[in-house]
Amino acid sequence: MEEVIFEARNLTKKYRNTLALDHINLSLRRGEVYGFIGENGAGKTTAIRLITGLSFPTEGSMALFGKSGTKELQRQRARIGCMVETPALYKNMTAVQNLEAQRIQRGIPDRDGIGKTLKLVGLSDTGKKAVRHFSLGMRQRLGIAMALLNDPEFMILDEPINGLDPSGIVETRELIRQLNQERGITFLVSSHILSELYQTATRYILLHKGRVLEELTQRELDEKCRRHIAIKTNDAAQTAITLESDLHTTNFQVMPDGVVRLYDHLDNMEEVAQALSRAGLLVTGLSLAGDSLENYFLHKIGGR
Amino acid sequence: MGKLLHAEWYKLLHDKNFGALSIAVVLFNMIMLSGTSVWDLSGQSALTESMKKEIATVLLACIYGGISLGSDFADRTMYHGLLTGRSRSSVLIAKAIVFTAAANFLLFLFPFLLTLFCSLKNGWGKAISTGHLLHGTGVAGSLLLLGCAISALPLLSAVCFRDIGRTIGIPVVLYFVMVLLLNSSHAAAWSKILPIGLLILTADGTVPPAYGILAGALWFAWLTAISAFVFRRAELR
Repeated sequence: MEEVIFEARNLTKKYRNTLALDHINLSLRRGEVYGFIGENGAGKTTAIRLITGLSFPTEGSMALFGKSGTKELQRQRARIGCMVETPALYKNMTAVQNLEAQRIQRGIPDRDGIGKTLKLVGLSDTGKKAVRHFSLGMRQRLGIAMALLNDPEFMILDEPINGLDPSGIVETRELIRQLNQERGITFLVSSHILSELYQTATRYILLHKGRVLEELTQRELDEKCRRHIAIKTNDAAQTAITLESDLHTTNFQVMPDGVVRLYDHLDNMEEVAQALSRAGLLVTGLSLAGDSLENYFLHKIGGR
Repeated sequence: MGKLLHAEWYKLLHDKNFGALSIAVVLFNMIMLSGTSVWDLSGQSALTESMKKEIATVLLACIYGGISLGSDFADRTMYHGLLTGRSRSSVLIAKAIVFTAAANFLLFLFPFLLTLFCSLKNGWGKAISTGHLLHGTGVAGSLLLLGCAISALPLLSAVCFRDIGRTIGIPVVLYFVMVLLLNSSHAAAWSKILPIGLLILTADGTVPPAYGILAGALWFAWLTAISAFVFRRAELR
């Protein structure tokens, strides 16, 4: 059985009159890269703040690495690495000094880890330059390095590619993949750039107005986003028979809501319509569907 | 807790603001005392004189509180401490200990240097006996505790407002209120209550060191306890 490293039950956060998180249930499994998707104000950062202990839930419970309760959660947070919103850095210090402060605080005995981590994020040649003179991208990389230093089992990255140039984006993506595959680190990555998340995540959590809209795997998402002809008739079973006998295809799926998804004949909808008509079926819907992650998300939240 | 303290200490030693403010404190006091005969006083008199001018240094210590503690909240570097597996109280206590030590360093750097200079140049001014040494230790202890009490105000402000502006602003406003009270018609009474007033009264011997120790400890304990109470429940960014 896959180990659940974080679990939330009915997690709720209310700020005066705003319900930032509304009874969300989450189970994050070890070894996955979770894409945390949601509009501004959907509750992504609020959820991250609750996990990292920056904020307290109004209702509900959490468990980290199977442990719950205030004291245990506090202890287990030492196994997390995180970057919430913008990187939290000591601006008057250099990159090495920032990591050294983090190393001391975390009680990491290996000083060599600093050089290795800086090399990993491409900041090994910043010398005596104070962080306040770093570009946004460099700060972002250093934020990731700070989160990585303690060799965490679970990494939470809130908008990690903000401010990065195209090569930085690719490097961050590769770094997440590499750390996930080689070290088995579980990631929770929130980003507005959904096409980027699509290339990194193995599972997706769609958050909207403080609620979890959907949780799905990469495969499920691919399935949902796959281009197809959505056919709605008065008889799904007969539709399937017609497609097999008249159009000689089995490349379709009958969905629980009775919609039949046909994955070929995409350029020939007319022929499909004629076949269904010949079989005496009442066609109430016939359209091309399947989208990018962006469009799928917009469709889910009712934006398009 | 040891690791948190070590990390705070490391950050203090690498904080350029702290170094710059230490130099500023010395230069500021030297300018304030330039043209006076304070350099010709005995060590003991120089200590009393420098403590009278200490009120201005308190302002710089308040500003340092804002820069140091306020930026920890504003830059959200505070959460590194929370992710070490330690309690919020431990994180705050480690920060408070190092900040208080730094603020006391800023407060007493110039009086120490001036007293040392005058003692070496002009002598202490009185014969040093065991009684004097004990009294001097008491005075030093009470001054340090009053310094702790003064630095607990920026700590409380940082914890309550969690930004740089208000962490500097509120203690500075309170500082001016205290200065006004110490110049009011009830100055004598206020100076025996407020840490800034007690700093001068303890140094010149008007109040016994034990009183300064008690008042300093009470102010420090009270302000730190409120800070810890607020921080344990604070929603951090």
